Amino acid sequence: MGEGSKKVIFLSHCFINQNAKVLEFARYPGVVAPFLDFMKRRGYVVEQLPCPETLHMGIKRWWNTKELYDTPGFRKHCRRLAKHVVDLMEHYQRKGYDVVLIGLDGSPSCGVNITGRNPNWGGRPYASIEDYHIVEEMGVWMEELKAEIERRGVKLANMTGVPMDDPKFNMDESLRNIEKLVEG
Amino acid sequence: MEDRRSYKVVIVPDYALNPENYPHLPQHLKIYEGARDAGYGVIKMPPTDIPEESADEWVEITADMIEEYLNKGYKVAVIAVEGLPDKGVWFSKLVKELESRRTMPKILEISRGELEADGEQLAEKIKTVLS
Repeated sequence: MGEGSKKVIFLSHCFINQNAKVLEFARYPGVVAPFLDFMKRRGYVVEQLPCPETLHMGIKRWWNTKELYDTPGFRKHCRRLAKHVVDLMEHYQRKGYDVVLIGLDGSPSCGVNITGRNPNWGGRPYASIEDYHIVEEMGVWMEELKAEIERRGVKLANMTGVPMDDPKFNMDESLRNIEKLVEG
Repeated sequence: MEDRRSYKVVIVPDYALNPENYPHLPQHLKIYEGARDAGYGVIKMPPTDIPEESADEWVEITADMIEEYLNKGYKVAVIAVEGLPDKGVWFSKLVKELESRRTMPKILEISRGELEADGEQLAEKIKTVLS
């Protein structure tokens, strides 16, 4: 990515709206302020992805694994959203922006580097966080979004995930990593 | 784990987070900062210069989010800004869509004068809309 080039960061929805989180996982009242403040201090334009989980299952949804979202119906829903997001990425690319995508690592839909699986989840609601098995894969939404990005030939300057749901998450370290990634 | 959500959400124009896209308006982040400091979750609309058909889809997606939050008892407001095309939030279409669903969030209109004035008044106006 060129020094001094204009940058637009597409962020998973919940970085700007913690009210979209599945219950128990909102770490901030509304905006993840250290994250957004950092983006604006760096002069980045910020775009917000839609939240396919809230749009599909609502705000009172149960915890889910990748398996539970890996259905033809949810993937079709994600593909519909992806089309509009990639339209917006093309809009910025035509204006000379470098496009960066930042998802939420660990999420069954928004994970970029890691997501969560458990083939036994389903049926009568019961979930323990210990049974949410982290695996090195993308979540369903990111898989569909990446497929649309590639199909349309949009060039991403970078794509990564931030593991904000990890109890050991370190915001300062994460922001340093993002700065390195975006600035090259 | 403790869930810290505020149960309060505002819909804002792109201008609120990306004023650099609107050089004819004051270049500050006072709307974003007001929403952030009030503890609101933010749903940002796309830039106002996207094609009309694309905007229609974003309006529908936004109306879906507003309807879901209101149905579940969250407080929701739309922040509409004077000086932006259709107030930066496709206000006419969004209101029409929400009326057809018989649901309506609070509306907070911000004038050009308020954008240019001392930020404290604007912050207070944003803070009280969902209090």
